Amino acid sequence: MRRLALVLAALVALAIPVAAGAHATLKSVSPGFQQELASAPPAIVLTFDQIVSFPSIEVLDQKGHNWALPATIDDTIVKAAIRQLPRGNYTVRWHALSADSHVVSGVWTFGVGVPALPPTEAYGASGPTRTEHIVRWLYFGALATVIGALGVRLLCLRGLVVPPGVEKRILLIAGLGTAAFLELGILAFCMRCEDVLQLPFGKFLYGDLSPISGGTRFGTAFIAMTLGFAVVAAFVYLSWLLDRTDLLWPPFLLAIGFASGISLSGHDAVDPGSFWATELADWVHLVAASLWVGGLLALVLAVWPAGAALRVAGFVRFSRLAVWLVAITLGAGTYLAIVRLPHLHDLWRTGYGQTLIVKLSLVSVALFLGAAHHFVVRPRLERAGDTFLARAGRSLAAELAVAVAVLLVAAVLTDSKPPIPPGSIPNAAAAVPR
Amino acid sequence: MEPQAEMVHWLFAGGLLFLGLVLLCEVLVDEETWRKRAWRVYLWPGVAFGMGVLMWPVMTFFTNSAIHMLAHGSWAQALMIAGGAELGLARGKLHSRWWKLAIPIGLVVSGLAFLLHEQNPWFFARSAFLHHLNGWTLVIGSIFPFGLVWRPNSVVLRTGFALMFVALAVMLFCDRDVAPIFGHLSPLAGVPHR
Amino acid sequence: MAPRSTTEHRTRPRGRAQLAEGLGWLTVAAGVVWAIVQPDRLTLLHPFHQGFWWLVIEPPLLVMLVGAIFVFTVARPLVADQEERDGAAS
Repeated sequence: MRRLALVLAALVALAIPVAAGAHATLKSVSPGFQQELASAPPAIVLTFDQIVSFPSIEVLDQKGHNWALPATIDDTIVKAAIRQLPRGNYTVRWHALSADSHVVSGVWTFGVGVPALPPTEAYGASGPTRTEHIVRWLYFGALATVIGALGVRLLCLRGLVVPPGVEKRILLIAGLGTAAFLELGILAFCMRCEDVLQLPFGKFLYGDLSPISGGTRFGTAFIAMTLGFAVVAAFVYLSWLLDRTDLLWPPFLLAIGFASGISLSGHDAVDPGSFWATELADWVHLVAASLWVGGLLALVLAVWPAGAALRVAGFVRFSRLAVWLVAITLGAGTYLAIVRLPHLHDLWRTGYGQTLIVKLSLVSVALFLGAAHHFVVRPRLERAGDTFLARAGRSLAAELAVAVAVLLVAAVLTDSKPPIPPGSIPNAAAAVPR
Repeated sequence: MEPQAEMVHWLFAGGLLFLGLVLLCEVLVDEETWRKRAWRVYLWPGVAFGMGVLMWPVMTFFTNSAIHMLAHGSWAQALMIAGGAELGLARGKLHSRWWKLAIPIGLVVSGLAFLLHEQNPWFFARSAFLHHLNGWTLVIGSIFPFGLVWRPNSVVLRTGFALMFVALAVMLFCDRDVAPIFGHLSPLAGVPHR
Repeated sequence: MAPRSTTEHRTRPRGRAQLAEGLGWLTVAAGVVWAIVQPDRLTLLHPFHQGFWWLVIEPPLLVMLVGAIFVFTVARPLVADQEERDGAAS
């Protein structure tokens, strides 16, 4: 084994990769992505790695007025002179025909005398669509599946004799959840980029995503979470391969840690009034809710098909854990709602508040079911027969269904804009890269 | 401080060369000696799985175009799944021989990703030529592991499978970002560097 | 056809293991030849404002490194195992 470790270490040292390429791509731009300039630039300059033809460059102000003159080509450099720009935020949208006959495109922002907006706020960028709400819902669901399945195995079934079938089902759920999280993360990132680039699918495939992946909180979170969950996938797989339950601790902790990427790029990190406590509260809220919802899923799909003894032990332990999880979720959620909605009437007057009411209503139903499980079902489990256990399983599935619906509303809420607190400056807030 | 594309190709070429050498070695020596040390049985599938994990940083850091990001993602997943399936078979966690199909399917998917993401013609530049060649080598080379599902002891198929990785490594080592291929370089490709 | 001798039977597998080691050395030699034929591939020989990656990633050196890793971590132990088996058999 030592030799294997040596070989693997040598190979890791051999392969610490970062980038690769083929058709015309941008080498550099001037002004830079999200650069704040003291004075107006004389021209926009794009340098490619290959010669391009038929370039088009637009420099758009926040009203959509184009300030650029026609673009010219000098070898691999494309330049467009611009008229004297007044102070403000500008969006550069460019297209060029690559030698491979595909139109390469991109967008970035810069500011003259003001901090530049992130590319997600570029002129012409659209907001999240209904499809994106669904993708985000599935994304939250996948995260909950990973954290919940690993959490149930490590926290609720610890020290118990777990049959191989249950072990296998839990690992399968965690593995599928991780794969889904990675795929949905890529899909969500591409959709967000598509919102910014505003290109049809064929052209989007050749769109430059680097200003979004490298220059926004959203992009940084995408990179960090994708890398983190690739490692989670590797650990879950190794745990299955080597029959080592202790190998589930690193992916559990990594999944919890990297879930912070969502909190660090969401409302509670970038909107006015956000600071470290709102970021922390959002992360705690997300992790506790994920453990609760995902734990229910693992309990219903993996533990419930097992023998009565494991069902009872698993239910009792999860029920105890769920009390804390619900308390943490509610506590952090209440704090965030107070920060986001400074006035009580915001709750029914704003779209964000109305969505929050729907979420709270669903949470109440889930809480009612959870309380019934804790106070009614749990005390009767010890002496329960198969019929009672089967009914309890159905009722757990109902709680899970409501919790999944809560995730859907949470996804819509995440994509909605909360009202701006009085006294804050919207432009300054928007200048924080997302 | 990102390395140039060709450097990443060279790094992965190193991994593929090692993979090819190990597979050739496995063909050469008798099975009993090879299996004397447990770690040797897991060696090449483990290397493939590890290379899959290491492909994720390439995917996330290379976002100059969506299609490249997706191609790198497909290679990462194909390597992890194929290596993972072989590790499962070697460990005795998987039993069905159909799991062996993960490798040829992974190779076909990877080959198609190469061919689809390279839109320039063969003689546009060296990188374009090698992308086409890599793609077709992977697609056609998938015949070897495909045959091994039914004839796992065939020396010809095992040797062909091993040599395919060596060939891929040689191709990737030959890669340069902007360089001629057999004296051809499209004037649109830019200025070659050393 | 005359039956093969016992000695021949024993040495053949060992010979194959040594051939595997030879593959590793051949790879190292290929790296050396490449470095001689294309010295421009070795940035270390003529460093001129090159960055970190140019100085670290040098293809002929990578080939040599892979060959050496293969020889010392895979092929040599394999030859030793084969010799051990041969010794036990005799």
